[in-house]
Amino acid sequence: MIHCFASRGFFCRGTYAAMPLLASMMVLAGCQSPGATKGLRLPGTPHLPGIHQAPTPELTPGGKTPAVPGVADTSSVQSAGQPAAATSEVAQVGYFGRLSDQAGQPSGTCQGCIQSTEGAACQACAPATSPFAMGQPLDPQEFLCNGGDVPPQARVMVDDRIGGLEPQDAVVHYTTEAGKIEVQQSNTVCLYSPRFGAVRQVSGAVAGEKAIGLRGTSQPVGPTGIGLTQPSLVVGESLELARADVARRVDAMRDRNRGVPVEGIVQPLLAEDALEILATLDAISPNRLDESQIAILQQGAVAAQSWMVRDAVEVMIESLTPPVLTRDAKVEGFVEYDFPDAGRLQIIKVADKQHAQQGDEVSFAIHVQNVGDSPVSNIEIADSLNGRLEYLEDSQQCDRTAEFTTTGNAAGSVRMKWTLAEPLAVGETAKIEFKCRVR
Amino acid sequence: MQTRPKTIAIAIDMPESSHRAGAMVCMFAFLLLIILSSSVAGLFSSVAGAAEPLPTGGRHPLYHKALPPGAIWQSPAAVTMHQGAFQPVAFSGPEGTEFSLPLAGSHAESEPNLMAGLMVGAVYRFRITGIPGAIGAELYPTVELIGRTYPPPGLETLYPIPINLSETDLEEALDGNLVTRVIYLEDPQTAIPLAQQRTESRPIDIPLDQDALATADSLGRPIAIVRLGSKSPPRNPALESQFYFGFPAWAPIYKPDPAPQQP
Repeated sequence: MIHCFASRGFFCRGTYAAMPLLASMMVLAGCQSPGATKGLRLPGTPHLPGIHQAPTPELTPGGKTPAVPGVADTSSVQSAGQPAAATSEVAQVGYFGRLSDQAGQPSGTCQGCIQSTEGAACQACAPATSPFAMGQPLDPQEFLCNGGDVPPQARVMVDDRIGGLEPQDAVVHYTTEAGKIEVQQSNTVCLYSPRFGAVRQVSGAVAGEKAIGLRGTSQPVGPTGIGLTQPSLVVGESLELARADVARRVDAMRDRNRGVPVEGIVQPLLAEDALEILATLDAISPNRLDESQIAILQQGAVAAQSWMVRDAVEVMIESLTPPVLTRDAKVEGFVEYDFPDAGRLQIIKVADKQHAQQGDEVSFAIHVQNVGDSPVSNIEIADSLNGRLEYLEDSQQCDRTAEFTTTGNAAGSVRMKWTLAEPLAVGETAKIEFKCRVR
Repeated sequence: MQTRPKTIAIAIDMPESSHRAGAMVCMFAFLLLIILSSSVAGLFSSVAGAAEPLPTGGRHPLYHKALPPGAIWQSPAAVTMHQGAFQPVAFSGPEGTEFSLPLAGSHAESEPNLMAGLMVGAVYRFRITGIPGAIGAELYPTVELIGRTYPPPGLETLYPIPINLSETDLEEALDGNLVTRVIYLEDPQTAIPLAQQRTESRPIDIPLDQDALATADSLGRPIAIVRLGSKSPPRNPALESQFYFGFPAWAPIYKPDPAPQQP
């Protein structure tokens, strides 16, 4: 660009013209990266790159495992020159996601194999780099979580009922010494337990696996019409109005009244201020009464017809000494009241498994500990289970005296509640265990 | 007013030959500018359109039942999906059925509980034999993975994508109908609170006027499409490659043999 500014000639134009050209070349080169041609067959293209139609591969005589490329422990693969795995047990093949387990292996190891033409040898290795180099992605739908309160909506209602406890939430609420009711949510414990469903649609006529027509139509067969026009023989009801009370309202009004001329308005001709002479006397301000004003005062007093109390003349003689206030109180004692901090509960929920198949039993444990500075009372632990967790009856245990109740929740599972009978002192723990079956 | 005709006359009398080359350069530059501006405008309009939610209209944006297998992967909107990963898939069916995947022109050994790693994005055609009530009949369905799972390391084969076919599926396919199953990952927040096994083959049946993929999308994350309908491979060997969608690579998964008993 410096050169461009300096020359301001054809070099400049040439540079600008070359930039899109270079960019387009870079784009074309990027489109032909090896990743794009790696082993994926696009429909419509008959073969994978580098893959040819091949006859039936050699099968291991009598063996259960066919000679499948990429299997480390197959003898034919070993004979084809592939490095065999050291382990004799059957290994999983071709998982890029397992690279995190095989971090110690040198890069470039054949992780997966693309079928070849000649025998069963690995013709092209799938790349040994994870397609998710930025970290293992997660799908929260594959995890079965329980605990927590997201978003925090759990609160204690007037009748000591916990409101806003959604399925999958687990909270504890307690009352501190000061009488304050607190709600504390637990942590979230997640199991890897994906569950799959299927949607099925059956189509009719098939050509090339394309649905080209309806499979069938179902039309309801019934009467084409129902005539219910038979006249009645007797009419015994009088549907007329027997009486109508109508209150007619004024719908229009015409008024011809006009303004009456007003005569004889008497206006004051003269307003005289009889108190004008009192203007020089400020009744409120503490003026010193001079002898020169006595005459004016007497003149005003005589002029006034009557005196009201608030208009009376006040005279203050400033000859009195002000009262003296003596403060000689001393501190006789000092009492310090030490209010301890409120009690605080910590609730932790754990599971004994990190992953569970459908039908497995999972044990959950809830630990509630007073980590505050004073005991708490009225402790109630509530856990609303996810719809895929089924509480096993009579499987709960609590190491403290507690009342255990279950109710159904919106997700089709249960909502469990433990009400501890005794308060928890500082440092004390309540442990709860229960079992669930994964649906 | 007197000078205006003079100016026009001067302009007309200008020789064209001296500026012909310059005019062509100007015209070329103008055309290039138009092309560039239109492409840039189109780019911005497409970017602005991508920010808007796709108008589904009750249908899946990528899928229609009239589309052949693999068509989803050709959609431009499918580039966000991850390709090139092997995903464990477990096949199961009624009692007696066996499954096998194509292996270099033929079929591998049939297994009742076949598990294999299939590439996401490819279309595989597998074979079903041992169909109950239909001795000697075979079916050649296709399975197309349109997503994958993300299990913690080490749990890939413990939690494969189940392709569970029921007996009615096979009966419908043998009757000449096309059975389309869209397998989806269920959302645990809205999961049906019923106990199910991994080999559960109870589907949600939808009528013809609904979209299978859109329905599955509303219930979770669609992850695989299975189409049952083909009963036999083509006799002409030249058509086998097209029938088997080019024999995409797959990775076999074997269950470890039980440990030998120590004497």
